[in-house]
This record gives sequence, C-alpha cells and structure tokens, in this order.
Amino acid sequence: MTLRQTTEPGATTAPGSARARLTRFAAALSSPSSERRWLLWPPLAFFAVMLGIPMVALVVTALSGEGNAFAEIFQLNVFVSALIRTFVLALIVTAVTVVFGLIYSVGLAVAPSWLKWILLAWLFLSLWTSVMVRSFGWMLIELPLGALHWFLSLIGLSEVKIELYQTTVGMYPAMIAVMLPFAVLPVVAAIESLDREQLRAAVVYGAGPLLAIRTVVLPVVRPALISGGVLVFVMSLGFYVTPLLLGGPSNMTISGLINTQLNTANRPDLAAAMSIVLVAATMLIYLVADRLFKVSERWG
Amino acid sequence: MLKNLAGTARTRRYSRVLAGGIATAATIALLAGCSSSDAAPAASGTESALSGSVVVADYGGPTHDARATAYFDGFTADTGVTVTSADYTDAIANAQLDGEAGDYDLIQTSTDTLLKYQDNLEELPADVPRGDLLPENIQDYAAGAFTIGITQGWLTDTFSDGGPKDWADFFDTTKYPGKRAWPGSAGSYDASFEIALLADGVAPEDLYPIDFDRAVKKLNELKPDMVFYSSYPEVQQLLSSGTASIAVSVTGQFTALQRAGLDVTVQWNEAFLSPNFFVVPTTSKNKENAFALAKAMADAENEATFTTATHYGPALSATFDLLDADVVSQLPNAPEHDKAIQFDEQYRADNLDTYLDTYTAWLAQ
Repeated sequence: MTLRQTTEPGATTAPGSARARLTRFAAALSSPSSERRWLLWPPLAFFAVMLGIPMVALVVTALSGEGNAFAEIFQLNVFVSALIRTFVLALIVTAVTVVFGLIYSVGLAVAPSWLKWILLAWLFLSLWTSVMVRSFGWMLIELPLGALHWFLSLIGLSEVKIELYQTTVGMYPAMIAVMLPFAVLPVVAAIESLDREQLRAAVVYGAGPLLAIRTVVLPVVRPALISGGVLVFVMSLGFYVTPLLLGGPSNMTISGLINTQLNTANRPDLAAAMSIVLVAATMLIYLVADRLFKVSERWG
Repeated sequence: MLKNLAGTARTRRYSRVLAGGIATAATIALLAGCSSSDAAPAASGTESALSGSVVVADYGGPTHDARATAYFDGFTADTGVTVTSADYTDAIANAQLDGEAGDYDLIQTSTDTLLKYQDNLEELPADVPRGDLLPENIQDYAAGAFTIGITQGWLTDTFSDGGPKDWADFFDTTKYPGKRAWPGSAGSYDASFEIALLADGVAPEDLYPIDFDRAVKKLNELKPDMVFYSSYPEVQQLLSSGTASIAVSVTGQFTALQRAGLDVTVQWNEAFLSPNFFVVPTTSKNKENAFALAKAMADAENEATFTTATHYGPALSATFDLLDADVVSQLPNAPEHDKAIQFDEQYRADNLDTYLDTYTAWLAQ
C-alpha cells in the first residue's frame, strides 16, 4: 500500500503522506483552533530571552543604587536637555528622511532599469557599510580643509570658509544618509505594487501630475511612508556615534549620556534608569502615533 | 582616564575569543615549559614556581606594544607565565576597583583613581622595587608606572614667533589664530579646569581648591574656538589636517606625530604631569603572578627600553642613567622641564564626581 503510493504520486491522498501533512499544516495555519498555538512559542521565547530578561535586569540595576535613581536623573539638567535634544533630533531626521525617501523611491520607480540597479546597489551598499565608517567619511568631507574644501577649490571657490564640522547642521546629512535605506525600501515595495493602469486612467481623464500623485500614488505609498517613518524615528533615538563625531559634544544624545554614566561615572543605576525612561518615552510616542496614524494596522 | 570610544562590543568579543585562545595556548606552553625545564636547567629556582597566566588590562595601541616588548616578552621567557592582554573594559575595571570579582590582575589607572579606591587594592610586596620618582603616597601600589604630560602642542611651522608660551597665550585667539583641539568625552576632563584657571591669571600654587564656576566661565570664552576629540588618537588627525592649530592632549600623541615625521613643538611650560600605572585589585585571581610582573616592570633596563619607545617618563631614577640625552629631553619629567605642574591628586580624588559632573554639563551645554 505505502509502496504503491510512493511509486504513484498521483494517487489519492492518504493520511500520513506528505501532501496530507501539508494540507493539515495549511489548515492549522488558517484555523483559529488551539492546534497552531505552538507556532507562537518561538517568537515568544525570543522576546522573553532577548527583551524580557534585559528589561528585568535594567529595572533591577536601576533600583540597586543607594537613592532613587529615577528622581535623581530628572534633577540632572544634562539628562533632561539630552532627552529633549534626542527627540527633536529624531523628529528632524525622520521628517527629512521621509521626504528624501519618497523622492528617491519615485526616482527609482521611473528610472530605466540600468539606473534602477545602480540606485538600488548604492542604497544597499550604504546599508551594509558600518555607521562608524560612514560617519568618519563625512568627517573627512566636512573638515575645514577636507574634501568639500578641496572640491570648492577645484571650481575656484577656495576662499569659502567651511564651518560644518562639529556643528548641529553638520551632523544631519550623515544621519539622514544612514537612515535613508529604511525609508526608501518600504516605499519602493509599495510603488512596485502600484497599478500603472490607474495612473494611466487618471492621466487620460485629465488629471495633472499633482492630482494624479495625490489621488493615485499617495494612497498606495502612505502606509509605507508611515511605517518607514516610525522605523526611522525609533532608530534615530539611538544615534550615538554620528552626533558625537560630527555634531560635537554639545549635541550629546541620550545614548551618549547613558554611556558616560555607565562607563565613566561608574553609576550603572543612573544609566539603567535613563535607559528605562528612554524605552518608556519611545513606547508612549509609538502609542500616540498608533492612535493618530494606525501604524500597527499598516504592519498587520 | 584614556578613553577609547571606538572600543566596540565587537572588538571586546574578539579580545575575549583571543583571551580564550591564549588560555589554551598557555596550557600548551605550560606543558611545553615543564618538559623543557627538565632538559634545560636555565630557569631560576624561585621563579619557576610560578605558572599560569596574568591578565593585564590596558588601552592597547603603541604603548601596549612597547610594554609587551620591554616587559612582557622577557617576563614570559623567564617565568613561563603567560601575559594575557585585555582591552580595558570599564564595566570590569570599575567593578574590581569597587572590590567586586573580575578577571583583571593588573589594571591601568591614574593617581586620583588609586587614591579613591585604595582600600580595594593590594599593596605591592616588599621585594618589588618602588618607583622612587612617584609621589610617596602611591609608591606602594603603583606597578609599571610611567609619567605622561598633558599640555599644548602644534605643528612648528604654524606660528612664526615660536608659538604660545603659556595658557594665557593659548586662550588668545587673536595672537594665535585657529581652532583648539580639546578633549570632548566626559571622562577626559584631564587638566581642563586647571588650564582655564591658569589662563585666567590664577597662580599654579593657588589652583586648589578649584573654583569650578570661574573655570567654566573661562572655558566658555574659548568654546566657540574649540574642536573636540572623543579619543586621543584623533588629535593627530586634527593637527595634521589643519583642522586645529593647537591641541591640548596627552603628550604621547605629539610623540606619535613626531614619529610620523612631522615637526611638532610641545610646550612644557605649565604642562601637567600625571603618573599612570597598574594596580592589583584585591579580587585578582593571580596575585603572585601580578606581583612577579610588577617586579619585572620595576627593572631599570626594561624601563629604559619602554621609555625609549614611548617617550613617557620613567618612575625609577636609575633609568635616567641608561637613557640617551636626546630621549631625556623629550620626557615629561625631564630635569629641564622644571616649569611643569603637579596635580593635587588627593583633591582630585576627593572631588572626582564634581570634576566629571561639571565637565559633562559643560560639554553638553
């Protein structure tokens, strides 16, 4: 019996055969029954180990100090201003990156295929290069006698004084470049799924480019823009090397301050309390954003 | 004190993997050592009693390489004890300075830290020669010491009149134009407050207790003309690229530039001298090996090798007799650098938190 079935793949499905198993697997996936609960275990275990345990350790560390670490950090002007500075920085980076990302994605969509590959390769190459290396590269560009100065000298503008290195303005191009792939890739995927016929129809019926973009393109890419933006915002809250190297110490982010408390000041309790406040504030902002933009539905 | 912000988790993991590999190598070397000592009676009786390894935490770089050549290689050959070099990790070092367990046997540190954590450190045994050029209150704890200078330096052709003579000149940006490279990580406050007060007209003998408000006010004057580095080697880049015209730094970076063939002037007038060294925490697991290494590092000939390689000042007066005259003139604690200034290390140890908090706040404002 079994032998016959393996030699005749077209034979009717019997329990125990590969196809039957597959069918049951598919049924388990689509049915709300308790059978599929085991599928939840790997991600739950992952979260418990990779997020739960570190968070518990943070809370324990924060409470291990002599005084109330949370009360202490909010009395530190350095902490409060670094917290505000970090959120403002993340907001600016997100806004600019999303706009640039949209422009880049639209460019990708309309480019001839050879240019499309170059633009994509460029994006991935920057994604795969270490942030440290790229920040250092930007530093070499921005130094008073750096690459930018050399370029301006080539075109006869050697007298222009470059004051970018270790200024607030000087750190944004690097951070936006670091974040660009995270804003572009979701939008590219959305544009690829755009129904070209709809766009053609809009144009045929007399819609100008702006109206066509507003009524046909934007509804398709808006969810991708929002999810890309949330991703960029949350990741930007962790910026450390780039602002330190290119923005100078007066642009110290919350990560930089946590590092100082942990390593230099030898106050792990303050560092842990600061980390918890950062995570809590991030979650709070996410919940508000979710209410406003329904982010989780876009991802679901 | 010497902070390296580029010390990423990855390099630490590599060093741990490396440490594991070295431990394995140590076992093999040990087996080999046992069999070879049977054949060769060269090893001295007292030292062959040692075995295993000793873990030394320092900041790597050329100083570490010089240390390995001058001290570690000969020590391992004589005793069979493997020296495992660890990249200084704050979390481990801080815990051990606080008296908690950890893997380090010798930890690089400076005087204020030694004085602050003295209760959790081992006194060196009587047979380890003391560094007679060190302050008396740290001699019993400091192994493998070397004196660094913290001062201003510049590429010689930047200024035609010989450059700034003192810290008041350093703050004078009309007389000496250009950016000032300045330590930009919170832990590297170094001599910042002391320098500002000297520039503001305070006499060296009146520096302590530090008037932090006055120092910060003076530092604020110069802040727009400062360019900050987050690790010391950046100093070389800032000077050689012309980004900064003068740098305040540990003198080793000026030495490195000179080694690279650049003509650098170092201003020893009002330079600050800071002894750096290794301490043995009470929680060290290989104390006997650590003490034996401390003894090997307190040998004038070994120290002369290290000093010639690094141009950091020796801790033994006997070492000066073994050095060439042109090396001596480069050393922070050379006799001719008599206008250099010593920190009040006890004051700095007692006010470590004030230094750090004030500097962090000033940097971030």
